[in-house]
This record gives sequence, C-alpha cells and structure tokens, in this order.
Amino acid sequence: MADDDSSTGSAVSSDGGCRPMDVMFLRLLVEKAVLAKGASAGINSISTSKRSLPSTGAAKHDTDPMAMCREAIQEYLRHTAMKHSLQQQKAWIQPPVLGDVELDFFQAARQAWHRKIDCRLNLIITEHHMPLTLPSTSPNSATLPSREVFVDRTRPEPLKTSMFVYDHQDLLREYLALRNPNMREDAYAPLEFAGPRFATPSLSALRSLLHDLNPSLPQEAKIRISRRCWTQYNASPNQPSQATAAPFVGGKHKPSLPNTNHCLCPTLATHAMPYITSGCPVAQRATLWYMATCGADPNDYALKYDELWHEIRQVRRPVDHLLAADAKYQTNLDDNYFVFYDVILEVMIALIRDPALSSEYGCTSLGADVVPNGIVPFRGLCLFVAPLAFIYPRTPQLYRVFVKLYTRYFRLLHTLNEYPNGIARLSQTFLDLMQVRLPHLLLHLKGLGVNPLEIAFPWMFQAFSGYLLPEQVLLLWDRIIGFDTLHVLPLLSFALFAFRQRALAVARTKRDVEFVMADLRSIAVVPLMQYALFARDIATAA
Amino acid sequence: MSGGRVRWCTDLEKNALVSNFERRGWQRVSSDDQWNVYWATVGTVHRLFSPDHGYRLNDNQILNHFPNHYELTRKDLMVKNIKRYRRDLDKEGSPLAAKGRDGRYLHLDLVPDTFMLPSDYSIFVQEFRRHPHTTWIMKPSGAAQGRGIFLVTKLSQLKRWSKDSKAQARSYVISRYLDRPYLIGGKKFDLRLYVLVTSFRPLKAYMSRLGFCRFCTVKYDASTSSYDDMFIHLTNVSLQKHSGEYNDIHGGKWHVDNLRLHVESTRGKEAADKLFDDMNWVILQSLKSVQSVMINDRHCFEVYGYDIIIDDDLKPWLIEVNASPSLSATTVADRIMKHTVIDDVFSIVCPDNRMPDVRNPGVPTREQMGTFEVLYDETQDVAVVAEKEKRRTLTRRSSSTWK
Repeated sequence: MADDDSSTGSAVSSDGGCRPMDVMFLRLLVEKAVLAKGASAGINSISTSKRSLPSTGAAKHDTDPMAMCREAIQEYLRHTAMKHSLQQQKAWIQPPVLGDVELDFFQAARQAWHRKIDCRLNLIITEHHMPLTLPSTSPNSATLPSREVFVDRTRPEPLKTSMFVYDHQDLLREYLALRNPNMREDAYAPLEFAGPRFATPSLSALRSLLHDLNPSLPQEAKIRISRRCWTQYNASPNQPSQATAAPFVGGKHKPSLPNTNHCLCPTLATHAMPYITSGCPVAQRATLWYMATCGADPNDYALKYDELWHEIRQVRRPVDHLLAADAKYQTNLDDNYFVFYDVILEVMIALIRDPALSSEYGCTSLGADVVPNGIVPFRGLCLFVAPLAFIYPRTPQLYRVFVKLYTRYFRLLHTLNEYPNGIARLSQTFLDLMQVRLPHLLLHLKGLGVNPLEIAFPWMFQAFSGYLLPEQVLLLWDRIIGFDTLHVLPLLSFALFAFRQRALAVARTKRDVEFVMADLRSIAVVPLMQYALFARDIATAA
Repeated sequence: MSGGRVRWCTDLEKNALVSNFERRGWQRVSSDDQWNVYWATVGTVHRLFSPDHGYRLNDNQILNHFPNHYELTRKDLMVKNIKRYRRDLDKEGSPLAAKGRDGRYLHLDLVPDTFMLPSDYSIFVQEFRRHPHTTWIMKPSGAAQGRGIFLVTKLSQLKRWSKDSKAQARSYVISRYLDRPYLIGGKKFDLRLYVLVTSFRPLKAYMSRLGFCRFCTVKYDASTSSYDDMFIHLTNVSLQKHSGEYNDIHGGKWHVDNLRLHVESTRGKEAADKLFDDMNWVILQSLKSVQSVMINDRHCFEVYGYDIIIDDDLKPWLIEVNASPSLSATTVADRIMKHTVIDDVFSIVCPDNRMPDVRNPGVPTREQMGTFEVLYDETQDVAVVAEKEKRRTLTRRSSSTWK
C-alpha cells in the first residue's frame, strides 16, 4: 500500500491548501468509507459512524481534516480490498493493454472477415458511384462550411437508410463458424451453439469480481414498483409512486457534487472508479464519467475539437453517408434517441475521421482514403453514442468520453477478437453460465432449435443500448466503467434468461421464445444482476 | 339500478375508450337509453346541461365534462380567471400574491403576459410599445390543433389582421412568445400532462405520471426570419405530421421520464426536482383559480390535457388546458399510454368496477390510482380541514360547508 500512500499523500499536499472541489470530493469518499464500514458493522446512521472516525488517529487528526480524510480513504481501500490496484485505474489515462493472447486461427479468421467487409464496402461505394474524396467547398465559394452545416448536409444519399456494411447477424455467423484446429471435435461434447472454447470466469469468479453489487451495499438503481407490489409494501394512499425500496436509493446516500466541470487533482480522478461501481447518482454521472475516463485534464478540449473539425470539414468521404444512413435508421426506429440525431451524427463523423485514432486500429486493406481510421461503420454504431447524449449537452466533452469508452470497451464488441473482454469470450461466458446454472432451460431451448446465443448476442453486441431504457443502459454502463470489465453483459443476459425461465419453459416454438425475450423495456438492470450473482437458488428458482 | 352491469356509451369511437370499457365487461348502450357512464363530446354536455333540455342525472350516472369547463379550457377565459384569482389574493393580502421587484408575481406567474383582442387592444399596444423588440404570438381563443396561430413582431402585422373581417369575428388572445425555450437536441418541445379532476369544491385532482413531450421535427431557430415556419415553433402533432421529417414510429414523442433524466443529468437533481415541483404548482394554481366559478356538479369528472412549455431557466409556463385531450394514438407506445391513462381514470372514478355512485365519493387507494398521483386533495389537506372545522364550530352550522 506504499504506492497509494504516496498518491493520496500527493493528493492532499499537492498545492498548499486543497481546492474546494477537492475537499468536497474527499468528503464524498469519507462518507462512502464510513457507510461501507457502517454497513458491515450494522450501523446505519452516518453521524454516529463519523463520530467514531477520529479515533483511528492521534489527537492531532481531530484538527486536521485532510489527514482525517486520508485515513478514511486508506481505511476504505483496505476495507474493500481492491484487487484493481491503483496502477490499473491509472491505465485509463494510458493506452489500454488488451491482452497478450494471439491465436493464429483467430487471426486468420479475422483477416478473412476484414476482407469480406472490405469487399462489401467497396461494392457499396462503387454501386452508388460515391467519390472517395469530395471537397466540401463548392467551386464558387471559398469558405468552408461550418460544423453544423457540414453535419446537416451529410445525408444518406445516394444510399437507402437501410443500407449497412455488416450487422450483428453477420458477426454472429462468423463467430459460430470458427473452429479451433487444435481441438478434436469429440474431445468435448460441444453445444452446437458455440464457437471455440475459452476459459471463462465461473459465477463465483464473477461474484468476487463484481462484489460491489452486493445487496447489502446501497446501490443506485431505478426501479418502479408495480401496482401489485404496493400492497406488499403496505403503502398508504397518497404516497408517491416512486418511493424507493430499501436497498435502492436515489442518490440519497451520496452527497451531491456541484454540477460543474471543474478539474480535480489528477490523482483524485483515479478514485472515481470505485465510487462508480455502486452506480452514479444521475446528476453526477457526467462529472464522474469524465473524471474516470479522461483523467481530470483541463477543459481546453473544446479547442482541440474545433481543430479536429477544421480538418474534417475540408473533405467529404463516403463513410459519412454510411454513418448518416445508420444514424437515420436507428433514430427513426427508437423513440428515446430520435431527438439526438444531429449530435450523434456529428460525434460519429468525428470518430471515424479522427486522424489521432488511426494508430489504434489495424487498417483495412482499403487504405486510409476510404476508411480513415480502420473503423468500418456498421449497423448499430450510433447506438453507442446515443445514451451519452443524455448526459453531455456539449459535444466536445461527449466526443472525448465516447472516444475513451469506445477505445477501451465498445470496439471489442463488434470485431472478431480473442481479448479477455472481447465478444467471443463474452459469448462463451454466457453459454457457460447457462449450461452450469440453467441446464434444464438450455436443454429445452435446444429441443426447440433455439440457440440462446442468437438472442443474447445482439444485446451484448450493442451493450444493451437500444434494448433497455436509457436510464437502465446508463446504470449498466456505470458498472462497466466502475468494474472495468464487460463481463456484466453476459451476466445480465444470463440473468434475463433466469428471470424469464418460467415463461420460456412453456414456450412451444422458436417464435414464442423470441416473443418472450423481445421486450426489455420494463427491465431494471441492477436487481437482476444481483439476483444472478447472489441468489442462493438460481438454478431451482422455478 | 344499483345492481347489474354498468352501462356505458360514448360519442367518440376511440380504441382507448372502447377497449377499456369492454375489458371491464360493461354493457354498451346508446345515448338515448339509461346509461351509467357517458364519455361525451363538449357539445353533448352543453346540450345535456342546457335549461331547456330538462334532463336530470340520477345518482348512478357520471359524465366526463363539467358543465362550464370552458372557464378553464378556453384560452381567454382561463387568462381572465387567473388574473381575477391573482387580484383576489392580492386584495386579501395573501403571501401567495407576493410580487418581486419588477412587479411580476413571484409565485403566480403561471402564464406569459396575455391580452384579449380586440377588447384589450389599447392596453396591449401600450405594453408592446414599452418593449418594442419582443415577439408575440396570436392564437384564436376557441380553436385547437394549432390552427390560425401566427407570430407578431410589428404592430403593422396586427393592423393587417384586424382588416381581415372574418378573423375579427372570432376573439383572439395575444401573449408574449417564449423565444428561449429549453431545447433538447436543438429542438423545441412542449409537455402534455394528464390531470383528472373529480370535484372542484372540495378540489380533488390527480395527475398522471404518464405524460409526454412533443418535439418539433426541425431544429429551433430563434431568428426572426424563421417566424413564418411553423414547423420550428409549433409543437402540435397535427401540424408536425405534415412535415417531411415526421416519423410515425416514434411520432416525435418522448416519455416524461426521459425529460427528467435529461434535466437531472445536465442540470442537477435540485433543478430537476424544482422543475417538476413547479409544474405541479402551476397546474394546481390554475385549478384553484377556477375553483369558485366552476359548477361543481357531482356527476361530473374531467380529464384535462395540460400543455406546458419550459423555458431555458427551467421555468414551466402554462400554455393551455384542453378539455378533450386527443385519445387517438399515433404510435404504439402512445396507444399503450393512452389506454393506461383511461384505465386508471376509470379505476379512480368507478372503483372496483362497481356501479358509479355519486352519493359516496371515496378516497381512492394507492392501487386504484395506478399511474396517477394525488396532485391535491382538499379533503386530506390538514390545514384546510382544520380551518373549516374552526369555522364550523364558530358559526355552529350543522350543514355541510362544502358548497
């Protein structure tokens, strides 16, 4: 712990006195520590626990609030026994190291897949006679169009809005067709459902990874109590219908940060991660995600964003039209995100054309003219931006957070990769969970000819955006960022199957199954994940 | 009459109504027969309550409009009633009528400054000349669905309108235009909230949690050159439907929960809570302003559609109240929502699917209210009840004081 001693030490003594924002944030952590301690000791009131706090140090600490905070933070870190060391948290600020596993059959498959989508992209471009580079200034005007005008003029034409290069069905088919040449076909009786075998975390491993979801700790979650449950809760008439049930508090157990975009001390930013694991209060999510993903760099990103757009506005490329088609299609279908069409399109164009990102991704064979970043637009890319549009009204910040989230998490969901958080491993985790915990259900579905992965894959491909309500998606992504893992996605998919297993058990056809699992609008994410992890009788819950 | 199936009839063939009635197993009759529940148009209600009709409603009949609902739902009468309510409170010296330094009411600033034309024309001109660069919006008092509305920036535009003799036959209201609305995704929107009132004296009002925001299809443009384009400025669905960008899968409608999420994420929890509290306050005060003039027929209940616009400072403004909020559904989510609203209305008004009985109005339980919440129930308001008790013991009147 010597490392974090120095880091918290520097946080406290970096500049003479701490800025008010830092003090406030330290206070937040203190209260969280106290609550966690209180929860384990069975004490519920913050005031009594606070009084017991100064006893941990010498009498000098009573007069020194900073030292008291430091004690509390160290106590908290010890208490939660964070496996993710601070180095790992700092990894947000450095580029991510995604794993050292490189399987050559995967590589071959990946190259074949890249060739396929390149081919398709080429076909689209040539069929519609789209010029590869089109200067966006017309010959008679010398001025560049402004950002809004550029985005406005990006229309799907000459494409139809339903045109796309690939979607989750294509990727699923590729994944299922993968075969590890080293494995004998009969060595392990496979579910015909799955691709190559990997070692995946078991439920107990997930439980220790996601320990902060424990029901004994207060969580941020938004649940609505149905009419029937009211009688169980013995609510009196005239009570507001959004009263919170006991373990789910709506931001009440966390004192609120003022809603500003102040920059905090960079080391404090690394402490934002454990704070997020039990969910962010809605009002603070913007600041917390920004701190967790971008460090707490000063706020001059707006300038860099303008420079980026200056580059982009010079030239129009065919991928712009594909992005517009995807954005138009998705926002037409979705009644939560249609308002943000312009914002989404702007951020996506910036992502695809950002020259700084081209080093991250293996370029496709088509070259930087057609696919500037190596990111090929696919059906559903805009749904990753959409929930963020609720949180960040200003596009520079939105773009910055989105780029970090995309680079670290979302791009693993739509490429063939064998990284620990990649879609291949996630699918395998899901199937393993189903097989170990819900074998009867799995057999039943197999008998109906239904591959549960076919239902869960679209959910995981999109990180549930577009399937759940925006608020629930944000709560889910809180956990993704807080725990720094995408394994909440297969966990939630598995929890959904467990939750609806009774309805699935009486299904008679494939269409029935699809119908049961079709509508996720009424789902509350956090209680389901807790149920999957901590319920004693998950397999026999029927 | 007390036993047997509930008999219903309706003037409007709307799915939300018919499916709800049929689901309850009620019996459909025509309006000439003995009915128990009648979902009528406003014209029918005027006819029923007109003196020469001679039709007395019995104790098991309920109707979905108050006889003089237009006191609240016509734009000019609503403004008149609110102004009168404010003046009365001012005369009483009530703290509600407190005014700020600029002379504006602090707590009762419910509607933007409004004048009736042609009666208040001279006062309006005075106000216009005092603030020459503001925009005003002209609305015909009795029309709906955004018909006949236009924006005024110069007095000459009004002079042109007054020359048009056909327009002058109808009365208009002109109010200050909110040119800085709260924008989401760059688009202007307004809110539609459903409020059920079962009685005015004592005031019993319930507000539904299922409201929605109606978005314009085009980005908002505050410049004066955009004032001819009604697609930017008017949010009525019946108008926006004709825009090229309209889409009938989402219909430009957002659930109120999404609005709450957006405001809370971008402006903070206190701001979001205050906004929703202010909206409740505006609705409640508008109901209180007509409380004394409404004919409180106990056979009546009414579902009002409140249109509210939020400006950039997160202040809600009451735009108008609709007596017959549209029950047709434009999208799937819309259909479900309107069905649920009507379902909960009848769960409150006819609890447990019993025969409606106007003699015993009960207090609806939490479960019966469903998605509605109590906005204000004067019988449960402790302060009001205590006051009435005090007055009753003082004057020793044994008859009911709720008149």
